[in-house]
Amino acid sequence: MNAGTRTTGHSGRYRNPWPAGTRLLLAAAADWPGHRQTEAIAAAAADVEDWAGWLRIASQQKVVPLLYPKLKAACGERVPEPVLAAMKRTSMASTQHNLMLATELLALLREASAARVPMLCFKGPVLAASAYGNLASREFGDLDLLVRAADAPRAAALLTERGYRESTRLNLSWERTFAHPDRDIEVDLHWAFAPTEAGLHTASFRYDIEGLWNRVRTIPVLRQDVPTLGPEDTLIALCQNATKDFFRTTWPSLSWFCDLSQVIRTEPDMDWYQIDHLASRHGCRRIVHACVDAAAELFCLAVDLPPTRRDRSTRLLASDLCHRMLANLRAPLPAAADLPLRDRLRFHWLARERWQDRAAHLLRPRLLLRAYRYQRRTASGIAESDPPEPDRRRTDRTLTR
Amino acid sequence: MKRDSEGDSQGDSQGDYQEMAYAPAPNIIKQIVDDEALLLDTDNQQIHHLNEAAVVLWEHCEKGSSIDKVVSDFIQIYDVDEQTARRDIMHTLASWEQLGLIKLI
Repeated sequence: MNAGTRTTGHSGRYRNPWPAGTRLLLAAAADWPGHRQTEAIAAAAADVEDWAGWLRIASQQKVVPLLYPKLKAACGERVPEPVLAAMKRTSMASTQHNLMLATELLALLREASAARVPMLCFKGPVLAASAYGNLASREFGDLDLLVRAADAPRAAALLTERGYRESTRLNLSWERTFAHPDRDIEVDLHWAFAPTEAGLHTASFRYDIEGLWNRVRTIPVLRQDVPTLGPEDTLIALCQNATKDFFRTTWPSLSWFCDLSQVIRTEPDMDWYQIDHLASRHGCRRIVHACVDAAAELFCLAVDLPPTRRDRSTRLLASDLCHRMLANLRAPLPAAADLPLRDRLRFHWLARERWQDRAAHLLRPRLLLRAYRYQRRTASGIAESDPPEPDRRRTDRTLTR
Repeated sequence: MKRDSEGDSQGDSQGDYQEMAYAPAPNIIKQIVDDEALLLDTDNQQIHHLNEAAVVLWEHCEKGSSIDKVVSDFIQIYDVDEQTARRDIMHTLASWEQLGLIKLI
């Protein structure tokens, strides 16, 4: 059953006392029909004073390629020329990188197919193509591939044969990371979406991976069909990042909210009842509802999720997500800032809706210790285990000057 | 894009180009970024950067415009004389053809 969505556009929430830069980021990142978005962008841009600071925030939030064409079209004359020029450079570099990653994705899928290793791609180029309609509007830094757990060693061998080297820093039970030493490409090879430590599912989800393979669809990327998650699984996987990534300094990012709202907007056949059913089964209904509610609040989306009761924890989670997002948009984030432990614990406690998930979350000292060591290592700048910076092989050519 | 023999400084010596035309090669994918574009050659994974003027020329290739039409457009848009416009256009088309971005049809 398709409950559908509708977009309400520029609501009264955007006339509140948020800083002009925040309003501009939200207005330009949203996707409203008609002239409402243009008017909202122009109105917010007129009040922006610190354009350099605004650009730093937009860059941190990874939304420059998405915002640049809208900002230029709506009020390019009001934006300082150096800011527009910097946005254009970022957009061009991002698009070039995206095209290179998408080409590599197709090559990897061809090799996997030849080796009879079922493989699909999620996020990255397929999300850009399906949710934004092109490879230029979304910044992505790596390729996320999903294989069955039994195929993971063969998929890893394929990557190694293609010149990739494993760069996994943590011994994770759901993914391995590979990087190409000569090219600026990183591949995350997944066989699950969340940690499964010693039989305990330490995140909120124990995702039905096998069922997910039955719902695979294809999305055209560079004129070739690429297998990817169904729309419902895509949305749930995005929401699942909320529990996985919340310890990160910069999370939630505006680009993540844009992804979520674009998936909601551009998937007309989204089966919201199936999402509710799957989320309930996987124990992630609370976080899915909270993420969708937060995206709806930030981008004035009206989402027709099944009319189920949101418990207090769901409302608190949604509110936390909104507030933290807005806080991240007020000023550029310091490089070494960290989310307070209290906030992290509160989020993870609220996100887990089943007592066994909460118990599992508390009983995971190994993972916590590893995460703590990893954070210490990265915070102190120790990078001996990092792969050497690859030489960026320039493949572009300027034909006409 | 149709390449006419009349007034074609490079084509005159080659004979009759009246019905010759260029089109983007099938292995080329265009991605517009603002007023510029990137062309991805899926055969060799090379990416080519087109500036604003090159995008105009590329779009004429996609539409199959005649050389005279392109030249008159360039004269209007960029305020250049016909000889310069025609020379630059033919030079660019030749380099694109050499790179395999466009093909004679």
